[in-house]
Order: sequence, then structure tokens, then C-alpha cells
Amino acid sequence: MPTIHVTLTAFNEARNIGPILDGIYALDIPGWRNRTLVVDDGSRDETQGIARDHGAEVVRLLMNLGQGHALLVSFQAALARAEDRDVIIEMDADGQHDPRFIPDFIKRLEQTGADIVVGSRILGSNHANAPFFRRTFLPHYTALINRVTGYAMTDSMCGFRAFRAGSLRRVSRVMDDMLEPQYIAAEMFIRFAKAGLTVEEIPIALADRFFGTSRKGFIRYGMGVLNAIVKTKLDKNYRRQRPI
Amino acid sequence: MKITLVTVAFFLLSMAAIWHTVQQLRRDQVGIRYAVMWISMWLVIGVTSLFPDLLNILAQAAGMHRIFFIIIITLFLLIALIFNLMSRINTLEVRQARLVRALSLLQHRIDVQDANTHDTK
Repeated sequence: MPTIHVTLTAFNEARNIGPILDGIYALDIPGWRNRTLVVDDGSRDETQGIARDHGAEVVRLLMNLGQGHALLVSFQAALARAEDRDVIIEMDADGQHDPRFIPDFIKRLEQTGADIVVGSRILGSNHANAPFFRRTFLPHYTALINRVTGYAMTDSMCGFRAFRAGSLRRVSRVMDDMLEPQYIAAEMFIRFAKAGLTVEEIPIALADRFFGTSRKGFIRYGMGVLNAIVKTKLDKNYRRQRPI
Repeated sequence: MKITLVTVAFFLLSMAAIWHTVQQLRRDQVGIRYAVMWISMWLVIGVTSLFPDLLNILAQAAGMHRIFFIIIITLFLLIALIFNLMSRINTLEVRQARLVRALSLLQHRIDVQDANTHDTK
């Protein structure tokens, strides 16, 4: 039976991580089994212990590196156990991504044969109520990435995504080359597009965080995205990269 | 050329700085590349403090007023130094992140193997 490897990157999410893991285990997708992997990005709270108590496998980063680096570690750790027919789901550990969308990701992967399925907050039911900066800037960032990659996404920045393990394994060398993991979405899609991976979307509704606030500013994020695009385009490994 | 107490003090200070840099190099506290750079800079400061007329000659050769010549050279050196240091810091950050990622995964594999060994026992 193939496995869904749900990976969560967490930094000081002790109050959020338990209910999310419970939500994942509550899923029953016929023909699939679940496995959860939490990458604790050097948290100073009880994130690691709580995740273990809730049955997740935990990789603890020896120091706080940021979400992008934690995500790369989560891919490597998940691929170490995954078979090519498995699916790796990436989601946030702050409660904004509802595990009940996971079956939709699997269904979309099966229907389309795509390598990656991205959750789109723009297509989601509650985008009209999204914060001003997200509504204003997100479409422009996505348009920029679409222009560079040739994809036709509506939301390139959403951290709720599904990957075919086999596809991700084929581009694992590409992931090692990443230069700007703090703004991983931009660089990942640019490199994956050149590798020839295909992308589909599903609508997702974003919930409020269970506890705490996000620390990401949209202007700073935009500068980071631009930086990631320029650096990736200038990178000699990217220029040498061929479709896989 | 007039040698004053201040010019001698500047010269002695730059010589002390060179000596300190050499000691740091001996103790492996500074790399050869940076030691050469710092020693060169202190030498320039030491020599020009003793022979300030040298600056006039260089400034005339460059077609600039002496004070602008000093400002431009100083700014150029400082900006080059900052750029070099920032580039080194960036490289080190990237290497550190890769190392931490690899070590964390290795530690995780060891933990999993240990847990499996305990389960088997």
C-alpha cells in the first residue's frame, strides 16, 4: 500500500502541532496509509516532545535555520523512507493548513498525473477575507514566477503542496544546489520547471492560526523572491541543468 | 617634511599593529590572505604618517586635490573591505546551513538506528 508522507516544518509550534497531527491521523484515505514527519527548526519550546507524543517521527535541526532549510531536510528525510509511488505532502505547522484537504491533493495527483500539486489560496473559498497585503501582492509575485517558469499557477507561495516521491527523488540533486532556501518557493519552482516537472493546483481555504502570529512581512518577502529569482538565474549549476 | 610627535606616534602605532597581526598569524588567528591585507594597510598608514609629502606626489599624479585623494582612497579601501567581508560571511552562512542540515539528518539516522536496536533487544 502506498504511503502519504506528511511533512511539517515547525518552529516554536508547541501549542499548534498536536491538533494538526491528530487531524492527519484522523484521515482515512482508501488505499493509502499515513506517516508524519516533523522537522523541528531549533524550537525553544516543547514542539519536539509534543510531536513525538503524537506519533510523529521528528528530525531536530541543531540550530534554527529557517523554514526553507527545514523543508529541504524534510524532503531528504521523507525520501529516505519513501518509495517512488508514495506521495510527500508539505504543510505548515501553525494550523492554517487543514489536513482535510490532503485527500484532494491525492485525488488531483491521481487524476492529472502531475508531479506537484499546489494548494491555491486564491482559488480557495475565503480569499476575499484574506489580509490586504496577501490579496495585493501575492498575485504579482505569482505572475512573476509564472513568467520565469512557464507555469500557470494562481498561488506560487502557498506552503501546502503535494509531490510525487519519485519525481522529487529525480530532482534531489537540484535541491542540493538551492542558494536561497529562505525563499524556497521561488527558487524551487524555477529549478523544478527547468527539470521538467509539471504542476497542478487545487483550491484550499486557509484557516486562522491556532495560536501565535506569523513573522513574515510581504515587502521583505517580495525582495527575497526577487533575490532568489536573480540568484537562481545567474547560478552556473542552474544554467547547466537539463530536463530530467 | 616635518616630523612631529604625532607623526612618530602614528608610525609606532602602525608598527605595533603590524607586529600584532604577525602574532595573530603565528597563532593561526588570522589567515595569510587577511594578514597580508592588514599588514599592507598598516604599512601604508605608517609610511604616509612619516612622509606625508608622498601623498602630495600621488595626489598630483592622479590630478586631484590631496584631501579628495585621501577620501577617495580611504572610501575605496573601506568599501572593498566591507564587500569582501560580506561575501565571506554569506559563503560561511551557506556552508554552515548545509553542514547543520547534514548533521541533523545524520543525528536523526543514528537516533532511529538506536531506537530500532533497543526494540530488537
